[in-house]
Amino acid sequence: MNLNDTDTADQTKFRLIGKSVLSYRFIIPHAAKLFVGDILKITDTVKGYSFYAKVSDLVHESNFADEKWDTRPFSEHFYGLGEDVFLGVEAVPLGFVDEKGIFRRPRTVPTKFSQVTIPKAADFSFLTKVMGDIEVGVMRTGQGVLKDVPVKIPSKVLPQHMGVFATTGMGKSNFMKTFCASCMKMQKFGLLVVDPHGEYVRGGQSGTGERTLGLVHYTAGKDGLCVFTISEPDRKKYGLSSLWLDYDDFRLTDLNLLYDLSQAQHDVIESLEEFDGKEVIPFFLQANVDTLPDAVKAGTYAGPFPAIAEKLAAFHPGTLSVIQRRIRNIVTGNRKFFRESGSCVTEILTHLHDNRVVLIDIPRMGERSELFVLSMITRRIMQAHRKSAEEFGTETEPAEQKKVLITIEEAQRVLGAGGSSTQVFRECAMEGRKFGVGLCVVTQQPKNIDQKVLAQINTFVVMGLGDRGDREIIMGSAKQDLSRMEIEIQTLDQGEAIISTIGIPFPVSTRIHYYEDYIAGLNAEKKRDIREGLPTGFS
Amino acid sequence: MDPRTSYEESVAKALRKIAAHVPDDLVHQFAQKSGIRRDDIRPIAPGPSGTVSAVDGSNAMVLDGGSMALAAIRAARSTFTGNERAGRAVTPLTLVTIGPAHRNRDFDDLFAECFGALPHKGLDNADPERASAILRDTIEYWVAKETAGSLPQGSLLLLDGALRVSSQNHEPVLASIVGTAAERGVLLAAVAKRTRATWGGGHPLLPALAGLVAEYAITGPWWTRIDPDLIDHTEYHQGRHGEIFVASLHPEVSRPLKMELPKGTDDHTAAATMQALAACAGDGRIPGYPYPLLDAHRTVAITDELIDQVQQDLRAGLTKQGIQHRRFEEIFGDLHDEFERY
Repeated sequence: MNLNDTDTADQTKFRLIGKSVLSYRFIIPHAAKLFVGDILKITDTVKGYSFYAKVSDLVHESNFADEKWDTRPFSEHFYGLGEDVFLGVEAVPLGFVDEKGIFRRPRTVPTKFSQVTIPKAADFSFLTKVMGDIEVGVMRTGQGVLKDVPVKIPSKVLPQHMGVFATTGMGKSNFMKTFCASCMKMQKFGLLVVDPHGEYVRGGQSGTGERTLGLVHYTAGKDGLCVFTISEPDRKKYGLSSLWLDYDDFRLTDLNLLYDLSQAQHDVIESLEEFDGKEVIPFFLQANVDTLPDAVKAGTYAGPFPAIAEKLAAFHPGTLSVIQRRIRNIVTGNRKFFRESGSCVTEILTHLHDNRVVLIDIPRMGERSELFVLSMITRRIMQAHRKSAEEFGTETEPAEQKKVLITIEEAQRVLGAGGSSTQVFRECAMEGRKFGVGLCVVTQQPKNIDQKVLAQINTFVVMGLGDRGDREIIMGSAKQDLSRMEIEIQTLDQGEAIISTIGIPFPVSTRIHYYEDYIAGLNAEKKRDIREGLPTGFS
Repeated sequence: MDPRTSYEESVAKALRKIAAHVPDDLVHQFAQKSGIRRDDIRPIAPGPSGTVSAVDGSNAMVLDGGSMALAAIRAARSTFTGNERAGRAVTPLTLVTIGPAHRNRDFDDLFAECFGALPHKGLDNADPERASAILRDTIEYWVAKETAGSLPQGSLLLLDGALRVSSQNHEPVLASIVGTAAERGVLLAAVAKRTRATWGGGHPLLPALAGLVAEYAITGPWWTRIDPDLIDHTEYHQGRHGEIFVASLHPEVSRPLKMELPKGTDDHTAAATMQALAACAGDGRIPGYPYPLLDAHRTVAITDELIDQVQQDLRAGLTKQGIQHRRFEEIFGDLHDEFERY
């Protein structure tokens, strides 16, 4: 008879024990350090595949049949606790690298008991093949980051709209500046940003009171930036362009966006839809609307723009008076950049089509001015791109189609559910991608964005969202399944994001670059020698 | 028994019988009958946990064809030093046949292999369950004997159950284990998971003693020696190599356990044994029960899954030998399995 020593080495941890194509499961020692969001490698030596999965939950578990083993009286001490008490790990499959090194979607399961390990940076080399070109951060795994795995959003999908979702203080401005800097560096498409606070141009103070830098401080990338400003000192200091919009950039329908209007006022706007701003604005600035209806009816109207006067004859003078007052307010309130003639929108379009970041800097101008500028430029961009598509005789994207991304901060103001007041932005959201115009929708309240607009977004940058309703809306709208990452989204820290885009095969946890450090690195990069690509001599 | 008795009447009758075994003045009666005084309940002083080895065995019926049965047996040992497991060992899973002949030949072979001599009486196959248990005891005693001969002085050897044999064949084996432990200075105790020990014509021992200890307002771990003449059943006087003790080993949880220490154990050795027992009885799973015995039990237990595996192996082996499934079912078939499906 033999008495055999049993092997006491525990082989049960860190090996795959379940579960399905959509969910992996394994156990680890009860005191092991693993975090939600950690990426793990599952090596399937039988199939020759390397699977990757992201930890979505950690649960205390045991082999004991007694569910209350840990709460019963005097259960403070256990012999060999780690043998039967452990952490159950739930992980979301990301995909697998096959024997040819090609990353594939997780349509199969690893062989039972495949070994689970924490991957090294080299294990993510496959990702460099699927990553895009607009770098925004480095891959995050649980509590740490993989410094050698930069996260880059594919520029080719950005005109299919992008959403940046974050509550205050989660690093939204830092992300946007980093994104802008990368766009300046790569120059793959035009990016329009309207900045009513002046923080993008010259920086300012962060929420914690630290000095922050602006896009002008990314000197190595200045060729990719064009700033139109109303600040004369900044224009001189940084060599910026002056911002000018003229009456012809304006349409009376812009009033819908800026004011709450009555039905009668809407009717006035509708009746003048065919007239340009260069006609409508001078008319209202000069007309005596109190006597206008009577004068037109009596045939005694002798003022300018008789065609406009004719259209307004049927309206009550009080309604016309409100419209007149508001137009005067617009003209006087925006006189720093709004004038009768001489617009730089054409120049803005040119810079956008040269794939630059165009920053519209209107510090201290307020929300109404911001929307006023944004709607006028957006309309002009849409008109230009639509015309361009028509000239080609098709609305499908030609190979050389110019691509522009328009940033809308606090987008719930103009892309909320219902209402026709924000028609230009809605058109852009629903049809813009056909013409190479995308929206970068930035908001703290995704649940207040129209679902139809969210459904058009293909790139989601999800930063900390405290509101459950907001998270659910995002999880339901993203093209990739984010529902299993809710705990991670809930626990995102400042400067962390989950980026889901159709270009990258799975949602990527990202530590967004700290802008100041990022541009310091970019500025320190060796500048391209002018001789590169040129022959160095004569033969 | 009147077949016309209603269910309610039968429950009431059962309750009356239970109450008769546990009368209201159980503790008072026990105090008078046992003569146990407050001084006889000894406190257990806290002490360090030294080396403790626990031995346990397991048996399970694999196939039972009426004239012939197959059982699986094995034994295991868990050793702890300073509250950490120092090692575990287990015998290979062994299949033993019971029947069809009168005398169990596997027992003879197993006994000879374990102890180097044939059993003086042999094992009868008449009761397969009992035969299976005695075969298991054989291998369990062998592990205990090996362990008693290898443990260092001052360590504790724990057995499951009692220092009493169920088969006379094991009489010299148990004597040898007790003797070896004594010679080598190894403390020895057998701890019962449950006991049928009664006194005074059927009153349970442990509730009576626990009540008496409570009446004496004794808290913390304690032990006491039980007068063998107090116990009712003659089985407790036959094949015994131990004396009965009762101890509650946990400082907070009252869990009196019946245990046996070798005959003639003096109070000093008994106290040392109890201290060693209490030092390893703090595990939260079953506070007050020596954890090494639980660990040995979990190591050795032959589970249903294991039995299923053995059955599959046997079926596969028989198929290779040309014995078809139908014939197998004719020999070992059991309609209980079929019933389980519905």
